[in-house]
Amino acid sequence: MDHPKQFSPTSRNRLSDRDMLLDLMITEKHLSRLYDQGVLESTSSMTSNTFERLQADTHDNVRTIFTAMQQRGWYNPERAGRAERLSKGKQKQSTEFFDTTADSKYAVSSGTRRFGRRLSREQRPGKSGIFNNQKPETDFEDRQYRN
Amino acid sequence: MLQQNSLTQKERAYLKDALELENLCITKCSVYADQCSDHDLKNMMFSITKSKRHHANMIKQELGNSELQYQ
Repeated sequence: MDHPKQFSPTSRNRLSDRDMLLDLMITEKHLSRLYDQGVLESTSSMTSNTFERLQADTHDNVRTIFTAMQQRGWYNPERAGRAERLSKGKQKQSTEFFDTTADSKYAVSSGTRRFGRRLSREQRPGKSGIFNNQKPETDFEDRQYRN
Repeated sequence: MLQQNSLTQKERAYLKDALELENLCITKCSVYADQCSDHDLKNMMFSITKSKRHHANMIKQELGNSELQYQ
């Protein structure tokens, strides 16, 4: 990673400012997960409210740390897809477009065109199979019902 | 006897874990605030320590209240 390390002039064994913030942020995230579980597991509304208040404060703290890190360039999550598009240019965009059409083709071929192909030859409608044999019976039943 | 408003075992376990973690956070924050070279970050860490102390007190209160109700 290319972030400016800030070592203390007296000792090299200390954590850098960035590492300190990162450690605090990870601890806060862990706490947040714990409070979330607490809210889900609490049986009384009073305990649930306490966990929710603690959770809200934890979110505020994480936001503060996140902003501080971002201002110093120590925490820069890339926007999804942006980096790829910048590096690969037009070619990438055209494949992305192709991907969406491929989805619709898949839906057609699997949904409509090949529907019924899993049935054996005898079972397919229109051939000499079970569907042909069943038809007169249902007609007969209908006639009986009407009479 | 267990009264209606007392905590369940799970709630107590979560609160105890949270208290330990909050206390760890307080220690970390104060140590880091001392070591930090950036003045703004120092102030930020002090304010986080303050909020953590408040959290720890809240959790202690919650655990203490439930202990009073176990009788």
